[in-house]
Amino acid sequence: MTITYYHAEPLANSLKSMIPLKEKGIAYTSTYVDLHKFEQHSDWFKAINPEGQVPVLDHAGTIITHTTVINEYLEDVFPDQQPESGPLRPTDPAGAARMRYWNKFVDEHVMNHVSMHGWHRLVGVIARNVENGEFEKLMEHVPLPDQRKKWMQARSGFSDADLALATEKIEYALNKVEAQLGETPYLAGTHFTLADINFYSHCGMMVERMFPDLEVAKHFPRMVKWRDIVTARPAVADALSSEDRTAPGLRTWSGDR
Amino acid sequence: MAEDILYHGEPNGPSLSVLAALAESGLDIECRHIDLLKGARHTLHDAQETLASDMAVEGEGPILLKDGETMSEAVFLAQYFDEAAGSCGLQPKDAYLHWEMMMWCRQVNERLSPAVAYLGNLACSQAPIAALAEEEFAAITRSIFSDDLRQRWQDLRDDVVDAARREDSEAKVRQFVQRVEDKLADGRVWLMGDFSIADLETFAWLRPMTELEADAFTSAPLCRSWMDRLEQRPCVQSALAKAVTENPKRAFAPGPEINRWG
Repeated sequence: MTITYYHAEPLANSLKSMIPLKEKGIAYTSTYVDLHKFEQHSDWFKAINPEGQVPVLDHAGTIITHTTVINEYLEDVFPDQQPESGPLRPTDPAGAARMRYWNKFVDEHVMNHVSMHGWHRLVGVIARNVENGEFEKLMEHVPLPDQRKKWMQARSGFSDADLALATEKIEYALNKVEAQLGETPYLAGTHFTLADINFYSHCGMMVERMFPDLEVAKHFPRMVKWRDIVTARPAVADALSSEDRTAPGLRTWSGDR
Repeated sequence: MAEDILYHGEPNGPSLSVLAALAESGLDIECRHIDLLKGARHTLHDAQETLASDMAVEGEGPILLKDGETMSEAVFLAQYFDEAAGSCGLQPKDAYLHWEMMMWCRQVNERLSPAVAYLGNLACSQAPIAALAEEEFAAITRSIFSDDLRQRWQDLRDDVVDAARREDSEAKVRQFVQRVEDKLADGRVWLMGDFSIADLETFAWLRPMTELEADAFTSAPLCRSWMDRLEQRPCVQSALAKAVTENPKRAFAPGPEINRWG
């Protein structure tokens, strides 16, 4: 059963399904999709995922998309391949439900706010650099209307009010995580699960670099300790050291302003 | 150990889908009707301030109180019932079909349910919330943990209507009806082939729209007959029998809302 994982840099969505592959020791072929060259909107990639989005898991010809659901799919298909710390999806029904609340919270109330800042910084740089006319032509290749809107908006930039609101939501999420980590060592309880992988990939790993004004180390010490524990996991370290072709001038998404 | 209790509102939206999933699972869990529009969900006896109530991504859906812990979110509760019952058939066993079902439910949660909740609350619950006495309303909003959810209550009370959001919501309902129609085009009886949570979750949110957005269904005969089949299914009948008002299709309380920018 061959697996190919189509992904961009080890960050956010692309990292989120790469970590479980590594944690579970699943052998896969890595195919890098260059977002800076709009490769996700190219014909070869849209033939694989008509939505034109990374990452994609090709499992022996079956195409699986959307990271939270990819990760549960991996649990369904490889239930016995688990890290020493325990199953990435709790095996008791209540534990699985707890993991799913966190995933949903991250997907709907964290990811998009961090992503807005990310798009504003990185994508804005790319999009503004594309010459007029050229950009419109590229937009014709973006299959999802919502995604097209995002690109157009990223090009013109988000308003300060939108960005400030997004920062506020991120702070709210950090407070929630900090409180939870006062109760349990990991988000969904005593073990490292897909919920931790989700928050780490979309926020935890880069929030301190991205938002120095939030004084993360000072206000969220438990989150920082948890982040360092997650970063130190061999599988996570392995994923983080995978391909990163981000042009240095564009390393703004997860870095400084 | 305390007994598990499912607190639910009128059988509409998330309360309908969860009650039907419970009936389908055959689990013996006590159901208690509460008035969601009086904020009763936020002041449950014995409920600790736990994760689920604090998340409130779904809005005013049902809550399962299990050993003092609150559990919420209709799809996750349905999955929980299925898993706790040792697989009662609400989730496909095949990994790919399971993925497809969860993707579908996510689309319902991200597109359909915020749209239905927005339209339904404006049409049915804005006036009752605006009519609450100042003190009663303040007591409700004080009891809500989530800032987002509290704001949705406040917006309804203040009758804040965003024309673009209303239009977007109407479009999303029409698109979803079409999505169901397309899915059923190959002659299948249920959305995922076999009956699953996807049927319950989609039906529960579309059912109230048959009155409020009736036009959306006119050119969707397959969707309409699929809804008839669901209406007749014993688990749905059992859920609808828990209604205390004449028309539960009009029972709404502030529901899910997600970031719509992309």
